[in-house]
Amino acid sequence: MDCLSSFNFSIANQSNYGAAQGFLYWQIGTQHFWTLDSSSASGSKYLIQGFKNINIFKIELSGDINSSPQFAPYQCIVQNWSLGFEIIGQNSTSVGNVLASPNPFSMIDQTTNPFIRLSKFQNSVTFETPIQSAKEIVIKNLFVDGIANQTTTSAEIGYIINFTVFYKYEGE
Amino acid sequence: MHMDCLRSFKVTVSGNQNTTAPEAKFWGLAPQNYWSIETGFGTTSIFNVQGFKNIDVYKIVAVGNVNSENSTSTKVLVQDFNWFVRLGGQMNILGGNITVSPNKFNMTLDNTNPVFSLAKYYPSVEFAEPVNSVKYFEVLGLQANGIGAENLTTINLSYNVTFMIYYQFEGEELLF
Repeated sequence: MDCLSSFNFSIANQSNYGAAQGFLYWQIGTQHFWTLDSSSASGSKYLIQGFKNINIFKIELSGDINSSPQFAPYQCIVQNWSLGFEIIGQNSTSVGNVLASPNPFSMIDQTTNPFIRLSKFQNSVTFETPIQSAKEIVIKNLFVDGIANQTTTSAEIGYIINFTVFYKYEGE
Repeated sequence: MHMDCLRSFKVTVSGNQNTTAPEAKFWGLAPQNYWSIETGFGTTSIFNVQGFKNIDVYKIVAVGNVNSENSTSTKVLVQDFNWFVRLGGQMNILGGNITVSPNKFNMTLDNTNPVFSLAKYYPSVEFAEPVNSVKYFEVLGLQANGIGAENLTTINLSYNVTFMIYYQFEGEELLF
């Protein structure tokens, strides 16, 4: 890690999510429970430009997703969240292959454009052999769940999450 | 940047405060009594970097906790919290850009005076290339939420959090 460079970008947003935005709610007794699946194939994209592509060794997220008193009457308690993103590049060389059958857990070998999901309790991923020739980072999925949605039809959440991408220029 | 080459300093926020509306809100049916607070933002705490040189910041770690005092009758259970902090400096940029549309998650570069959220479960942020020429470190606000509000108008929160800031002086390369 000593020889690496890094760059940063953030996602910062607040929205009131209803059914049309992927919000689902259920109730048992007086307890309210909810999930949110806010996904998009195009999502948000960082395009790496310049003379060289980069090899990515680590990505770290810092931040949190929460509701706020300002969001009343759409407050909620967030218990967990995850962000899924795709790195457009080549994964490290595989040293084997996946047995096609049986494969009850749908194991896959992401040789290109690996998809990674980082979450509230596991915010970083590190590679000794990097993802090579990375050209884009595309955030595609946001999953959030929790309890205590104040309103049954929607919940409002906000976030500031910083991405630190540790890299070397290709060939250096 | 190897951590061995860095210096560090620390600042601490420490307090015990009662928070009421509009910074605190309560909802839900007993016995849950959910709550959330968002405090600060209008009035911030600032550490000004002084001396001959500015500093380049490589890492911030928030060590500590936010919880209720046992002695009060306004206790709560804190389930999550995060501190919003700002570094008054310039962040490194890579040759690249953000697709303007679509931008579903509102991706942004935030290169000047960047804001970070340091949370209960992941209270640090780290850079291989630093935030340059930092002149101040600012604690903008505290967001917290949880269950079990004992009192439905006031929340008591006690906090003692030390921010460790790892840096080099601008233009210096330490050789040990």
